[in-house]
Formats: sequence, structure tokens, C-alpha cells
Amino acid sequence: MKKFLLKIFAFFFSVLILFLICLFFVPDIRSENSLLAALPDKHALLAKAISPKIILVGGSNVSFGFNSQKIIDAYNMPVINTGITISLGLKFILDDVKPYINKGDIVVLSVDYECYKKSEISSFDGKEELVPLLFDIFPKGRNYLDFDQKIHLLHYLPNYSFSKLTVKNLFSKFQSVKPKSGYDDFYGRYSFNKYGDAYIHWTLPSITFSPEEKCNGNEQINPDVTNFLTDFRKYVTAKNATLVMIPPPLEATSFENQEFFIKKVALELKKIDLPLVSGASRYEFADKYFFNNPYHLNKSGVDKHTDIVIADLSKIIRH
Amino acid sequence: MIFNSLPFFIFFTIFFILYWFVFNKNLKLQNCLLLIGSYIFYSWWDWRLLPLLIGYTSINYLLGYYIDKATKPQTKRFFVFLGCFTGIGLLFYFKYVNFFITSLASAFAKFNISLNIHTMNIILPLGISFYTFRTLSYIIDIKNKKLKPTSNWVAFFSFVAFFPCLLSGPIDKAKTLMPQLERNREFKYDEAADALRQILWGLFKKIVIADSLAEVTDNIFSNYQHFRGSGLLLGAFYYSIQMYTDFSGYSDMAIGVGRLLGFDVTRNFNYPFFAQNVAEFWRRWHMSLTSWLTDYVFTPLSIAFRNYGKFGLIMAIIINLTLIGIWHGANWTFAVFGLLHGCYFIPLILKGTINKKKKIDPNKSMPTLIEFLNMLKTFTLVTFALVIFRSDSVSNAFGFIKGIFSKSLLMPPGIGKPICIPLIIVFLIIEWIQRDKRHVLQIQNIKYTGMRWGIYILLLITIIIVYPPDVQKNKAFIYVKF
Repeated sequence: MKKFLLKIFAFFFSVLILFLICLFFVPDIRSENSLLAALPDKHALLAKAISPKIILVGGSNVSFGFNSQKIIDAYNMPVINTGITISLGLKFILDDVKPYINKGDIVVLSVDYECYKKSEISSFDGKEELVPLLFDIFPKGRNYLDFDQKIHLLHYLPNYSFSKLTVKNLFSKFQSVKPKSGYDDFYGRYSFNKYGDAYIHWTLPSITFSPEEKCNGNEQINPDVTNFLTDFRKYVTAKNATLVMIPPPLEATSFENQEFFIKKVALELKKIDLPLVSGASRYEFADKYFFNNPYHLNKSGVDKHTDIVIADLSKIIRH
Repeated sequence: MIFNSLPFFIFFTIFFILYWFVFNKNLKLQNCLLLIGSYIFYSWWDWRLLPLLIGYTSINYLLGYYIDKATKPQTKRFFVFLGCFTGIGLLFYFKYVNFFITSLASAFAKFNISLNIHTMNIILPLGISFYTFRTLSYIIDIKNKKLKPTSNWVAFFSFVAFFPCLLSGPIDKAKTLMPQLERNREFKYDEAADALRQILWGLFKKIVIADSLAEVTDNIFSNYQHFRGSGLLLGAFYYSIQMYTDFSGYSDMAIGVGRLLGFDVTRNFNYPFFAQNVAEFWRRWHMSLTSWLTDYVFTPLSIAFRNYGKFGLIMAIIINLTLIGIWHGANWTFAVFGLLHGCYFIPLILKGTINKKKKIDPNKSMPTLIEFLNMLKTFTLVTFALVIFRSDSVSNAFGFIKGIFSKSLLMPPGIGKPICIPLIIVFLIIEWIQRDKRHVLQIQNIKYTGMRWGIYILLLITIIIVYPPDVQKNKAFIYVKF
């Protein structure tokens, strides 16, 4: 038995060593030009922008939802769209933007409805996409994680670490990154314009997608999310900046399917004194305005949505 | 709690330590631990089903005792009947009653007679097909005087609920597992080390091969109308491999876990895709079920039909294989699957080659052309039957098969995941090379320890890379639902 246990220990110890080597020393070549690699680019935009500025914050509904040029034209303020993907988790997204909030800034926050769901804890703590970001793209981001997030992300680590050994990773260096013309990767590092808006898809035809599923009536709001939003609002106020909550743009069928929960969210936000700038139904759009999922707008959707946001921001921003 | 999950890993680690370090001195205590562990394992799925398992086990324990004690043959027969009636009745109620109701209603509807009967809201208890067969073997073996009833209730209850084999087998007969529960078990290093290799190989088959193929086949079988003939053919081929790697992967893990606890669990697969004909295929595929039905159904039937010569044998085999089909669940697809396999036997019986063993010499590196063609023929026949098995209905199965033989059969398949083809080829070559071994990872002939360890580590890393970290994305074992 002693021999058996010793050999098992030696085996797992070898695997552990290999795991740590891969995690910390093998580069994640795939990530270099991935969507996640846009984060440092967006940090650079934030650092460069002079306050007072408008910071658009959220997941992919934000990156796929704005034509920032229109907002600049309307308010004559710098605009930075920080949205990448909600898979990074709302906690991380908000913690990440905090250092760039200065006096007079307007923080426009649009949170996907799934983030508020108790059953969708990953949208709050972060999904597997957060792991490559923290280990290979933006290691400083590890300082933002709290204990719950660390525990939550732990089970993604073995898969991520060993996946660096795959042919797909090791040979991705040889793949073309950004051709001079015809670049159509709308989920890549270079799919953003100079304000941070995802724009590659603006010229592409829409792709068929399924709407969000119908609510079953048992959806609960995660109190950790509302508490976190309250703390974030306090932080923004302490910096003499303004937080504006806007509903995310949502495709009509999904809106209808999720209406029960959408109303619940609006009520909850009102209760904690974080009301949405206007009713959620104002941000319900017909299917034809969407690109490849119920939150991602196509070019005409982006323009329509941006116009609505500009109108709603006029309640807060004085010309 | 499935074998390829973190909760099972934690559960089994604790269990293993208690089993070999705390309770190893006392057999009764060790069996008690096994029983409690088995019930915890079962309750993890749904604790509400546990009273049924305990109640059913109690009845069979008492029946075993009374069958042995009964002096009059009619009393003995009555208790045996009661045992079989309880087991088969339970199976019928939980698995087939709704199927029976809907089939009856639709049969009457064809004559414009509307039966005002409704289906029942029944939860299928997990593992019921496996534990009822295990207890039936106990009752019948006592009646046939092949086994003495046990007075050790802990051992009997542990036998019925034996957690490594509780959900999807292998179906160990009482005469093989009960004696192992009644004698002291000792830890053997070589057995335990080999058991771990078997578990590793089972995990690899399930996670890397079966689950990768499932992503393709699920889509093809759900939307077969939208695929080309070549895509459907490849999808059917993929499903055969998926089914085999999923179920044999599970069996390897179950057997490995059993071996780690000192048990010699019945083998369930013996490289079935290298069978030369369908009869040999069934001697290599789901061997524990085939063996069970051979003992308790086929043998009595062939004795009953012995006066009818070859026709009697054909009848016995067709009934036996149709029962194997129906055992899988309440759908006509399973019955047709079994019936079709029964029909595959007819030419073998007529030619008199049914029992002819055509084992290929294990030292041969390549099969002859005839052997290869026989294997291909058997595989094609099996794949054809598995299309019916996998389809939601018989009409869908025929639609699928019709789709294969369309003009688009010669076009590129266009079903995605091209990596599956080299993966399957490599897998089959490795299985071919290792076909005389109990499992593929018996690689002690590789002298260098470092190289063997390298292979184990490589397999484990591949499993980790392919295994989805999100629990929701994990695919259940196919046979758990049976």
C-alpha cells in the first residue's frame, strides 16, 4: 500500500509541476491577438483621454452597441467604449475601470440582464475567459480578485494551463494576424475602432441566432450584484463623477421572454436608488437591428441605440 | 455523482482511505462501509429513490431465504415466481407502463376507437435495470441450487447496491460477486496499479473520444433532414464509435473502481469491433448482459424449442435479442434494434457457423483481407442497427437511412470536426495492437518507466484539456439513462 500511495503521489506531483510550468512559463500565443488582448488597448485609450470624459462600461452589449463618434459630436466630450465581454464578470469589469474614473467623468453602465441572476454567478465572478486575461495579458488584474472570484476561477486553471500545450496555441504564431484589407474577425483584438467600439461587423451581414429563453418565474436576483453596484456608485460619487445606468439593448423576442425578470431588475434597482435612466422597453429593438445574438446590434441598430442613449444622457449632461 | 466528476473523486478518495486504512481489519465493518458508501453514492442523484432500492433488496433477501427453506416444490415455485414478478413488475411499472399505455391507445386509435387513458407521471429510478437483474440472478440461482442464500444481510445489501456497478453495470451475477463480499479482501499493489490504468483509459475514451463525437452526432441525429448522405453515413459511423467508447469507457471505470476495492468485476467488452461476425460481436459487446440473458433466457428457451431444430434456435435467439433491445427502454426503436440483430443471426444458424470461433491470432500484426472484410461487414451491420437504436422513432430511423442512400452520398460530408477521423483511426489501431490485453493501457512491455509515465501523463493532460470546466457542458453517460 505504501508503494502504491507513494507512486500516486509522485504521479500527481509530476502533473502538478507540469501544470505550474505551463501556467506561468509557457506563453499563451493564442491570446496575443484575441478579443481579450483589446483590454490593454482600451486601458491606453482611457489613460490618454482628458477628463471630463464619458466612459461606456459593460460587456459585449456595450462594445457592440455604440457609435461613439455620434456621442462626441453631441456632447463634445471624449468617449471611450470599454466593453469587451461579460464573460470577464461584472466585478472585474467594474474594478478594472475604477482607476480611470476622474472628477467630472460620466460613467455610463449597461449591465446584461443575466448578470443579475442568482443562477448565473459566472457572469458576476467571471467565466473561463478571465483566466487567460489574468495570466497572460493583464497579470495586474489578479489584484482585483476577491476570495470568491479566486475560488470560482480555480477550476478553470488546469484546463487553461495545459491547453497552452496544444498545437492550436503553439502554432498560432504562424497565423496571419491582421491583413491589410478584408479583416473580418469581429471577435478579435483589432475589431475595435479608435474609441473602443466594435466596428468590423458594421459592414457584415447579420447571422441567424436564437433568442433568450423564456423565464420560468423562479429567477432570483443576486443580492451580491446589487450590493456591488451600490458600492460602485459610492466610489464614482466619491471621485466627483456621475454614474448613469442604462438598460442593455435587447432583441424583441428575447425581451418578451425575459420580461418577468427585466421588471424585477428595474424594481430592485429603484429600491436601492440606482434607477435606470429610462424604462427598459425603450431599449427593446426589432430583430432586424441585431447582428449575431440578442445583445449585439448591427450598424443600423448601433446608430438607433446611440441616438436613444444621447437623448437619455441629455437629462444628465448639460450642454 | 458520475465517475468523471470532482465530487466522485473526493468521495472515492475518502472512501478508499476509510476502506483500506480504518475498516480493513473487520470484513463486516468493511462491508458496512461499502453499503453506506453505495447508498450515499445513489442518494447523491436523488435520495427519494433510496427507499425503493432498500425495500426491493429486503424483499429479495427474504425470498432467497424462503426459497431455500421451502420443502414443497410448489411453495418454492411460488417464492421464485414472487421474486421474478416483483423484479420484472418493478421494471415494467417504472420503465414500460407509459409506453404500454401510449402504444395501446395508438393501436386502438387506428380503428377509430378512442381510449380515455392517460400516461402516469413516473420518475425512472436510476440503475433499476441493473439492480433488478442482479437480484433476479440471486433468486434464480438459489432455485437452481447454484447458490446458497446468504445469511449475511450486509453482504447481500452491498451486492445489490454495489456502487461501482450500480448505475450502468457491468451486471455481476450473484454467484460471482456474492462470494467476493463474503471473504476477506486484501490490497494487491499490481491489481490496484492496473485498476488505475484502466480507469485512466476509460476516462480517455469517454471524455476525449465519446464526448467529442457526441457534439457531432447529437446535431446529426436531431437534424438529419439537413445533412447530406455522406454526412449521415459518417454520423452513423461516428455514433457506433461514440456508443462503444462511452459505454466501454464507463465499464472500464466501474471495473477499475471495483478492482481498487479488491473486487474482480465481470468484464463487459472485449474489442467488439474486431468481431468476425455478429454472433462473435455479441460475445464481445455488453458481455455481462449477454451472459445474463444467455443463462436465464436463451438457455431455457433453446431447451424448450429443442424439438424444432434450427427454427427453434432462431426463435430462441430472436426472442433473446429482442429482449436485449427492449431492456434498454420503452421505445419501438430498441425493440427493432434487438429484432434486427436477431435476424442477423439467421444466416449464421443456417450455415452452422454460429458457434465457430474465429479468433484472430493475437501475434498477427495485420488481419488478412478476408478477416478485415468480415470485421468491416460486422461493423457495418452493427452501425446500421445502431442508427435505429439512436433515433427518436422508427420512422426517423428510416428517414435517416433513406437519407444516407441519396444522391448526396458522394458529396463531401460537411459535418465539421474533421479531427474526429484521425482520432478514431489512431484509437482503433491502438485497440488492435492491444487486443489480447484486458485493457489498452496494459503496457508493461514498455521497459522504460519514464516512457510509460509519459504516456499516462499525456493521456491525463489530454483529458484535462478536452474536459469542459463548466459542469453544464459535461455529457452524461449514455447507459445511465437505461
